[in-house]
Amino acid sequence: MKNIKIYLALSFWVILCGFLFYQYHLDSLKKLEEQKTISITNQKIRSLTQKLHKNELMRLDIHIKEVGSNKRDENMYNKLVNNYASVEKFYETDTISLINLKSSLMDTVSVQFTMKSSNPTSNSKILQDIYKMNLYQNAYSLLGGQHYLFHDFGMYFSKVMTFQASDTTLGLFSTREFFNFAEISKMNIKILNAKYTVDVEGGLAFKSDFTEPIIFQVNIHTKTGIIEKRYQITPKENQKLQPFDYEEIK
Amino acid sequence: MKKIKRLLNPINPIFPAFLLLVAFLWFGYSDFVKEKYTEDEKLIFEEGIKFTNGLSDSYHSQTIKEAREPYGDYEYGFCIDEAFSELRRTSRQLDKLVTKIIEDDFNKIDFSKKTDISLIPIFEKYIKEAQNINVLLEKRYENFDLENNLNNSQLNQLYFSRNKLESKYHLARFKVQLMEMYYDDIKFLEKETLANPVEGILSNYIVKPQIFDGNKNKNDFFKGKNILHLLLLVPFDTTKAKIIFPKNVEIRFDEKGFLIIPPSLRNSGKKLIIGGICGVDSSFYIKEDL
Repeated sequence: MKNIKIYLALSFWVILCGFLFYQYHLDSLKKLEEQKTISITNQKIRSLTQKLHKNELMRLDIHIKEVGSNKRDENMYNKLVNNYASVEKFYETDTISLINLKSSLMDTVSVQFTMKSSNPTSNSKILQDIYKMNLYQNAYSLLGGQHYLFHDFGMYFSKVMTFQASDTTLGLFSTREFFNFAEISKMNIKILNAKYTVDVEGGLAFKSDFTEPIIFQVNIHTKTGIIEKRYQITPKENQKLQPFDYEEIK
Repeated sequence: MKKIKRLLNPINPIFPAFLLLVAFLWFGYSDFVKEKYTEDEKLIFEEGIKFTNGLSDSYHSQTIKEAREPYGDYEYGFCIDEAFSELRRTSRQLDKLVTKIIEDDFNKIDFSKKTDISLIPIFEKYIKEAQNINVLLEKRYENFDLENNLNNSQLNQLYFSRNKLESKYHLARFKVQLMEMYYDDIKFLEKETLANPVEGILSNYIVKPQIFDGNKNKNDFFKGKNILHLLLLVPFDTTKAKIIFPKNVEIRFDEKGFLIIPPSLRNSGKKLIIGGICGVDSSFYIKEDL
């Protein structure tokens, strides 16, 4: 009878140990599987986020480089690109945090940057990964919201546009004006005798009461190089200048 | 005391049997009763789902915008030609389709009821109907694979067989993936059917300086100043453009496709109406517009 009791007790101990080991093993497997799936989903969310914003940045890039823009937009664009790069770097190096993002992103984003949830206190990798992805998504979403700050964003080439005429020819006109501000724009314009030049936001101006001819140069960037064209505006006494009151000079 | 000692004796089967029972109950409780996440932790998931749904919405609105203004969002200027109308029509139909699928097949999923999610059938439904809407999309879905060739039950096992909150988080990203398909469809059709005006313009344009009278500007800063602008002129489609008014005036273009204003009209102040552009006649007065 005593032996039966001992065998029975031993069996229970074996079952208990087996059960605990099995549960522990199952739990570890489950955790690994959960982490793996969260990690796949996070990677997917990240690439989907990047894809959408990359397209928007591409539009901005055309706006800045191809069309020509003003200094303010160019600075804003560079700031935005740097901000996206910071978010990526923080995420890559696993240093993404509310404090880091708030201190490095542009002011307009930083003030809006709030999170409802807080950094998980537990060691759960799943929670930490999701929280980091939330910070990442929030940063991208807020940076995406800054595109409206661009002057005339979206006003680049359209398929068919309004008309504009010179004195002899008529063409479809892009509605976009090109100023001398963007150093990297496809074209630029500058006044060579700077005496009457006035620097204005968004354009190049000269005083109406000029008394000497004004010479300006237009640089047209083509696939084969830059073509420089010079024009002269001659002052007219008591007469307003017409849009094409200039002559091409050598 | 003696009784307790006897009970705790390891060779007494009651002791390990009791521990086994406790272990069973504990794991049963952990698996089926105890909430896996605290309220604060649940908030992390909820916020993640919210942001991911926001990404879905961004894809959605961006796609609608893309179909409406493929090359920019300047309000006027797009020639509503046949291909462009077709793209917009397709976009509207795909929009209806994707919205309905999200509403019926995603948003109604209830993870508290243990049923399999028909994830792949949902995507296949979109593909089938999208191809019916525009046959060109067949090309895009020849070898459709949602994720590493996993079948529906494998995907269910992987993503939706455990915690409810985790399942919801995964589902939110699949929703974005469906929206991405709609987005890619429009981008694909845009590339296949529309001619990129930017390419055309940059390879064929003339630049025209223009003096703008600053006194016409409302801003006081420009008063007493002239502003220099550069205009970019792109040629007409010479096969379509025609002079509607004055009548019987011969239309001529230079070698680049720019319209040569008939000498009789130059600086005349007369009205000139050009037609054949996007089906809209545009008129302006030569002198005043100069």
